[in-house]
Amino acid sequence: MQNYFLIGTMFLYFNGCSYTFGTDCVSERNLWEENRFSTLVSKHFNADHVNASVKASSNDEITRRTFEFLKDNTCDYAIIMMTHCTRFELSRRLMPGRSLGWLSEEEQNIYNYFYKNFYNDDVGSLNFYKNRYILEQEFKKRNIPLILLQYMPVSKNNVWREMCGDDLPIVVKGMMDRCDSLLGRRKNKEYFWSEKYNRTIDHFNSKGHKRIADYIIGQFSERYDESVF
Amino acid sequence: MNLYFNGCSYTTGFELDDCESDRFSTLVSNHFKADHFNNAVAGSSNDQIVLRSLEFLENDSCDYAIIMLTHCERMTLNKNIFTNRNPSFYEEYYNDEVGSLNFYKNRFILEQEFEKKNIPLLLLQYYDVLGDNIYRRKCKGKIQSVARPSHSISAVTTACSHWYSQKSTNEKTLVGTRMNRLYYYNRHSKKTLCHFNRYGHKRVADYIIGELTSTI
Repeated sequence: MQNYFLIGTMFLYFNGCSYTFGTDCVSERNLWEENRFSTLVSKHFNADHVNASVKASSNDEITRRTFEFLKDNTCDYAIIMMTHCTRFELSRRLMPGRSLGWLSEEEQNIYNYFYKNFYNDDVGSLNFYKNRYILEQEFKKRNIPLILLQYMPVSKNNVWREMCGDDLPIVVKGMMDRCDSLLGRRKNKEYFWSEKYNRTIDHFNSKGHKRIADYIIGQFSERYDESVF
Repeated sequence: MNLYFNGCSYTTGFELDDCESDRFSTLVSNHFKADHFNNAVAGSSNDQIVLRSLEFLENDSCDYAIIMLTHCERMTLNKNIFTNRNPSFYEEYYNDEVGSLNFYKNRFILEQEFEKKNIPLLLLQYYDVLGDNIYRRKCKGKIQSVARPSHSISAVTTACSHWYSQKSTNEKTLVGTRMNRLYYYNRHSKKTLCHFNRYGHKRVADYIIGELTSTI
């Protein structure tokens, strides 16, 4: 097991899905790591960091990976962007979408069957807040400051939501959502335009990553004494 | 003293002739001359048992909680998922790891929550759940199993039969193998039940009384 903790250096832990991984966040040198928000935040504070995010992760996976990390490691601060509440980790890594592209027709039908027969908004909300709750509790118990963000709003109230802390900052909102969000509506031109593909894409671009990084840096400065960095 | 009980049909006393009087929650409470609340609901999954427990803890408290966790393959999504009613779910979306992760994640949450509130918690599990995962490693050791699966259960579904067929022989359980004559037979209906009978409830109650006596 790799020991991520470097004594004497501020160490940041990032986790999430493809948004945190930096998918489609290409730099001039075509390296997505350079411009993703985890790198920008770490550079700002001259800190070491690990970005443990994995593309297409569900919140089940993000939570489980975080617990696995915490078992043998620690960090000074953790930044986790929770993903779409519709994703599930069962024997398949389930996510909705009529045509996900990388699936065979048969596999796509299996995915669609799940969302048609076993899923509704309550299921997504319960699972989202259950994962959020155990993350918050674990970091609190370990006395590690945690900055949580959520990619999109999650409706529906439940006991898990009531047990969680205040509402989290939302990264993007859908067409019908009225809440504030860091990047505005999903797929807007400013933060979702790709020069490389010359069209709007599913993941926010490097400008979006800069906006997220600035928000996190602001949160650090607001919540914690910046002199510790 | 206030005791809190939660679980599925095994804790409700399902299939007992007089479930209110004969179920183990009543026997334990009578022994300690305690008040109790049996919050169990037949057909519950562990997801629901945890949710109900947390809902209870939001506005209430107790001196001791006794929770019997249920079959790990039961899950709650937009409905309760059972092996016999939803075979397609188990065929396409479920395997032993899914059940184990969900079981120990729920168990971990319960243990954390009761510890945080400083309420002693006695957990039992109907069957042992194998599998190594991060949530299991974070749970507090082994808990007592009530029964071990009978061989017939492995025919229920291939998705959750693997461990059942492998593990069932040597584990010490409170009522032995499921559906054995001593603890699962009902003399009035002359049938072997799916749920343990009044002697089974007495056996479970005696175990709980023993555990509570050493700590109260």
